[in-house]
Amino acid sequence: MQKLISIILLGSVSFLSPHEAKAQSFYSQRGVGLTKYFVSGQAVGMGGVGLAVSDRFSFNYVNPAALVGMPAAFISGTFTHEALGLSGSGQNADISNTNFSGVQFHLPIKRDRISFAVGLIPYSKIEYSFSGSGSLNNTPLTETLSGAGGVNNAFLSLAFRPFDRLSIGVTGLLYFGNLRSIWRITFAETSGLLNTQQENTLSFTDSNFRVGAQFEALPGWRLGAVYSPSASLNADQSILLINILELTDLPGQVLKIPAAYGVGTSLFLGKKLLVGADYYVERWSDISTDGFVNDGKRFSIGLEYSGRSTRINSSLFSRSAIRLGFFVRDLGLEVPVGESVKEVFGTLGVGFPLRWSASRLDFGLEIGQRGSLDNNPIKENIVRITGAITVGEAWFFRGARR
Amino acid sequence: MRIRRIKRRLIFQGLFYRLAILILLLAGSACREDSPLDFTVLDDPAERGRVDSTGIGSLLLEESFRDTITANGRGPFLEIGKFRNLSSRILLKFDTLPDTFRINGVTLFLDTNTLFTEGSSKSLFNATVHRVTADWQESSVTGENFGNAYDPAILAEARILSTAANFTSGDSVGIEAVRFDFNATGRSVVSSWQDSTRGDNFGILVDFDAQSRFVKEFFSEDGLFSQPRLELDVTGTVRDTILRVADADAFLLTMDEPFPAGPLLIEDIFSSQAVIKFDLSSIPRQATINRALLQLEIMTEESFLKESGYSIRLERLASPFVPPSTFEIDSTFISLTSFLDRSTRTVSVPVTGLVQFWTAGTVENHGILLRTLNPGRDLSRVAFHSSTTSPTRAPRLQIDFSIGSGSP
Repeated sequence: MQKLISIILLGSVSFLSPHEAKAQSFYSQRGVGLTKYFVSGQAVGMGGVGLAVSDRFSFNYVNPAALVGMPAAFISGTFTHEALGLSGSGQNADISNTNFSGVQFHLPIKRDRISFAVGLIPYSKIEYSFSGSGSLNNTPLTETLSGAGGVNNAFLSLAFRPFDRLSIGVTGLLYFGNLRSIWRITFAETSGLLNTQQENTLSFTDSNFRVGAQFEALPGWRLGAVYSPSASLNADQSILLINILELTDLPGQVLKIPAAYGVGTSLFLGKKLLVGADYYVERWSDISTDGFVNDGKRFSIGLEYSGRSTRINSSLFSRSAIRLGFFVRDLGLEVPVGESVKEVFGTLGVGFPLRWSASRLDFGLEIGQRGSLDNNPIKENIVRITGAITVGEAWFFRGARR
Repeated sequence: MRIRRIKRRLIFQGLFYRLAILILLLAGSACREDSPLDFTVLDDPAERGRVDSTGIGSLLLEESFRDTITANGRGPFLEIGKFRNLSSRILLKFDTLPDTFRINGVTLFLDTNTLFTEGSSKSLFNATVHRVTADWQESSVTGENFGNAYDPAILAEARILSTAANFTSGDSVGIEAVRFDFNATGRSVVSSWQDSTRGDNFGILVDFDAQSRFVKEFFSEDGLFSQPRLELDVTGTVRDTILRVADADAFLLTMDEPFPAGPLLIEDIFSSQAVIKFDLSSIPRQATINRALLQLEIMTEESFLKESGYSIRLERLASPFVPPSTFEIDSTFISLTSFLDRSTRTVSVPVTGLVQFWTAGTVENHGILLRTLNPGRDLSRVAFHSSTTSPTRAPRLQIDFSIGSGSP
């Protein structure tokens, strides 16, 4: 347990440490970049369905109300490996990227009644890179423009169950991070011209909140909902020239995060089969910023088959899970103007116990496409593997008094 | 059976555990591949930035001024004659001579370096030697503070020709030496230098007459070779010839008329300097200066340059220039130098770093000071065109710069 916790914490350090992004998504150029929608390691295999799912071993990063169902102290870390194939406008590129993408710690204050959780997860990511050539007064030059950074969330969640069938949660969100663009001009060594490197950075720290609820309408049938208001992140701007001159007294900017809401449902068909559907909306149309002019909408359906056995002598298969899902997502972007950018994905997932009834390893595979050559300049074929490790222990457990 | 099952479970757990560690390590290493797209698909071309060139000719400040006259006694040259608005005479001092011999004859030799003259027409003038009647120090004497402290009686004279310093004789090349033969009065004055009790050995002054239309430059006693010297024909125990090099020397430069107004003048003796300050408001603050060249066009008709060339120095001003001549130099700025010779028409000085700091606002732009690299050296001067003499040939900054888009 301690070793796994250490590894997860080490991985989270990797997540927090700055990386110069070289992989890319063409569609991350705008605003705060591509927003990430991650519910849980379990939900990845189910098409992202999870707003109305409350699993004993699954950390729900979107609906805090789901946390109250976790029976013990848990820590979870998540990583993602993504491979993109870009094509369009006469260009082809293959890019891959692996990174840590979330960590959370859960503590039950009162089992099945009150829960507390803290964690980190990326909210958005900017990763793009362009290059080209040109000249200045007949002196050839090469030019590159790359973007990096994104918005991260540190969060603190509190969930409670006032009634047996209703759970409510609230999450305090702290947005932090920086958005960077790095523009380089390289001249021939003999030209006598100094190379250019201009790094524009927007740094911000701001807060918001999210509320969520889950209601068990009937045994096995659950409804879930989340809402977070819009936020304006006051960002400080700085420009670094040729790595030595930093201009800091520049006017700041306001980065807008849209309000978001989601609704979902999950239903157990028998004891082993869970089906669900979610609908999640980001209200970009209310703030209309930097290419994000329409609401971002995500519709997902998924299922999970698991023996859900808790007996000591039951087989591995009966304690494992298989998942299947599908989602479509409109990013809210128009590239070019008038043409929306959509994602279509199919998903597959598995979950294995690590130790008897205390921990789990979830893998999810997402295969899909972002953009369409019929409407957009670039199509991205994406294969994404997500892994989540959840490790639990019974802390502060009081046995029966004799 | 149960034990076997438990064993199998533990092995399985171990495998998963190791797999988890491996995957996390991969995540920690965050491997990536780089494959940029071409700019043709950039969503917003305004994100790209631009590279550009511009010539800045707008000057917020452009002034020539004189500062304190520079004593030239420690310089390598001596000047005599009249050229344009300048006149120069030579001072020489020889310390007490030994009194162990009798002086029968005295000759002064001055070796020629170069000429300051117009064109190639030949001329000549007479130079005369006189006794100096007041003390002077080579570290401080100038044409302004010497006055006329000399006896008009002529001790020696010579003809000064507008000839080249070097001449060939057969297969050898020699340096011209001008010879002043002392008359009886001159020999008497030199003999008086053997008496250390007299206290009136203030040396000699070499003057020129009204025919002078050029300045002849000789080597001074501060050089290693060809120093001014007296050749003494003496009688002691035997008849002999003694050479005595000057112990102190200087040239007294005076200005008969002011320097011409208009050009930006840099010269060695009267501390003529220039201040220029460009208007850089058209360069955006976040621009990267890829190259900045200060370009100054030489006004050849007002410049006196020797074949050996001339060096100027650029200093950054640390505070605003206050006319007529108050300035403060930034001592932390490494001054730039530029060499020019008679063939130079335009001086280009790279000032990339300085302009970058100015445009970024890291340092205040109070302009730059142009001055000689070798104060008190010789008669050389360089005149640059200004806005007054020729607006199209005035100082300018040629800047290549690049500027990215406003924000990420």
